Amino acid sequence: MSPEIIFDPYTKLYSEASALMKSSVVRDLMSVIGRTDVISFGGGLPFTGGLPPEDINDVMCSVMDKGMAEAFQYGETEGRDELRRELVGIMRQEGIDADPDHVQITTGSQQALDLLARILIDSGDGIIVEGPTYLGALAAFRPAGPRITTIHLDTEGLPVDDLERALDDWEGPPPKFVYVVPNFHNPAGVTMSAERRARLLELAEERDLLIVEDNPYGLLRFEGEPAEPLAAAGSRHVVYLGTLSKIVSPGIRIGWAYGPGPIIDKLATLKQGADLCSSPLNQMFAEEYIRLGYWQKNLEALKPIYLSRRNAMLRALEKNFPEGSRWTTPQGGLFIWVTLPEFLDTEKMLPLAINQKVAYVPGTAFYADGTGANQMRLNFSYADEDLIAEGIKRLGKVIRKEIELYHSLGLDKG
Amino acid sequence: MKARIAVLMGGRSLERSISLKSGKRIARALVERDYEVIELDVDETLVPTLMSEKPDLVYIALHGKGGEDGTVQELLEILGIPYTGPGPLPSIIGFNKVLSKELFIAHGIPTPRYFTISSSTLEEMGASSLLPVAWAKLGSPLVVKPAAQGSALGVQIVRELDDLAGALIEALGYDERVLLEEHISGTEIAVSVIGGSEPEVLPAVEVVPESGFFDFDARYTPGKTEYFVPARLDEATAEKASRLALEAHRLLRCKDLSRVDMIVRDGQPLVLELNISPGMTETSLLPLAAEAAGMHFADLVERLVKLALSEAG
Repeated sequence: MSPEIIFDPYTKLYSEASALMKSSVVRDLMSVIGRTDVISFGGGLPFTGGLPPEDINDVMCSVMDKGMAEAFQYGETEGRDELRRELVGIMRQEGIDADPDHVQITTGSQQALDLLARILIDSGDGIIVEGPTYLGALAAFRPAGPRITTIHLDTEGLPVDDLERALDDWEGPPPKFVYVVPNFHNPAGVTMSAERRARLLELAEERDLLIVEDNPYGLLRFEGEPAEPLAAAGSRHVVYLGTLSKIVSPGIRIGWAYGPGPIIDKLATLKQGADLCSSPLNQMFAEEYIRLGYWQKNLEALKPIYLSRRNAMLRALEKNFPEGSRWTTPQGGLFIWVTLPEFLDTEKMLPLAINQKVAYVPGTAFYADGTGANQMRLNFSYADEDLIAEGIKRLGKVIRKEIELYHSLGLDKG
Repeated sequence: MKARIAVLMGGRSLERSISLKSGKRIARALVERDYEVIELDVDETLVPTLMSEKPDLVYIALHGKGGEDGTVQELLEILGIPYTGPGPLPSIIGFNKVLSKELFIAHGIPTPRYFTISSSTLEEMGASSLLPVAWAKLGSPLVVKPAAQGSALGVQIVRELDDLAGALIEALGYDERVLLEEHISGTEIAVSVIGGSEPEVLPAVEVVPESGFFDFDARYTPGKTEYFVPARLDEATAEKASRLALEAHRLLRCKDLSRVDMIVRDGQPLVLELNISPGMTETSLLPLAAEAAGMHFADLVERLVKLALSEAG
């Protein structure tokens, strides 16, 4: 109890919603991972080392030729028409036939999550998320004060039968939406099967249910056959979220929402109050980058890198993690999800890991229902193969040491 | 010509983020007072950097392992660069709650009763059988804390014997040795002492966590903690607390600076621990206490700098 305090003299001014935001020990501990001597599997950082400076230079020059005045002025709240058309082109590659007028540009897809929460959720409303789910989505939804119901994932993604049962047993006003990440789930690494996608769309139709489909990783498939996004069916029950963060760069903060006209209009109205418009300079960079075809070049360059890193991590896990551990084998995306023996607690283990100069994100952060204590998310996109091998080796040692400790306290019977 | 000061901050300790806040704020204050300032986020290049930069003084704004436990102080002794705050010995003792509590007890400074247990005794000597014994002797609830760790990281109040082993696991994540300490309910206060040959005791700051327990959540969640400065103590108790703080400060030979955390039960303060590198963020306790004594932040920082420079020479 050493009061090393952050006292806050503004306490009495904060809104009730701000009290719903969570701070945590984990977040503070994670500030250590920015250090070069810690091998971090904690972040969700895509590899950006492959963006060739000459390409970027090309694109920047093209933006300046096109119009300095536009780039440095306010823009349309909906986003630039040219960019929206380019993004429709990207969606077409995944089988979605979108109308550019139904696309809202956002400052990363994270902003789309925030805006959606604010136009859809009143305090006490029900929403349904996957377990585990994207932690940034929980952070975006929570301040609106929803009651969150969790449907646990299996290796084929969201078990739609479980969702159906949850809806059958539902009490009170129906849920406002179901939030899903069908491709290379963050953090779970799993992909929703084609059958389940079809069934989920049927269910949405039958129950008049809105689905928020978040697809940051769909194009980052380095193995297996592509699966069609839910939005490809043209259903009026799907709002689709896309982003350039994982296929171009997270630093340009360009994401988008595509969906039914009325919802997109509401998003635009709210966005006006949030930030007027996303940066026109960045939008112009993005549209030129896409138009000149660099994005595909970058994407094709990323795939073999990610595949090789995923393989390095799978090999290292096999070699170093104790019996009773299991993990997912993602065919794309950035994350492997590890489940350790039941009795372990990855949050309690984190400081030990950081002291051994390796970091991960503990599982509970990804659940709205308090489960996941024995799970962890590992990112394989950022560290190279050698660092992955070394980092997983360190982590394996930490886990074995922790298991010994549980054993000596008689806590390993779980 | 004013001195060139290197402010050490950040580092790899688990309290890195707080240290960065403290350090940047200190650096700004020093610039404001016309010192030449070098900000250093401590990493493996620290020693070569200090050797080439040759600062007149090092301001230690590190918290936690490496910065508060004597490590960086020992290194600065070898380099012969003067630095703020206490030397290696008080740092080593202050950061280790077992050493400091034993010293307090030996010198009649009241501190809550406790036992220690380490991961090696658990693994090699079957010490888990001791848990019910310690529980019976200390009474419930009891406090589990890592022997060497700041910011209350890993500290927990345990109310049921069944939860004790789990709490040990968490605390052992921060240090291989853990304290089981008698829980005292009372008023939590922190008393800072600023050194020199005639050390000055600053007004006590009182900490009132809404949950009754000043853990990490209480610290970082808005609305969960209130503070009072000076602490709401009667004169005799406040006087006792000051005297104890000064005694602890002198006992550990803290020279320039210490912050002594205590808990007051029925008018009797008990010393929980002594910090040699207390937080210096906008809302930390030492700056609040200094403010209450009429010392602005930059005054406080400059005073610590002058103390260190005058001792050097």
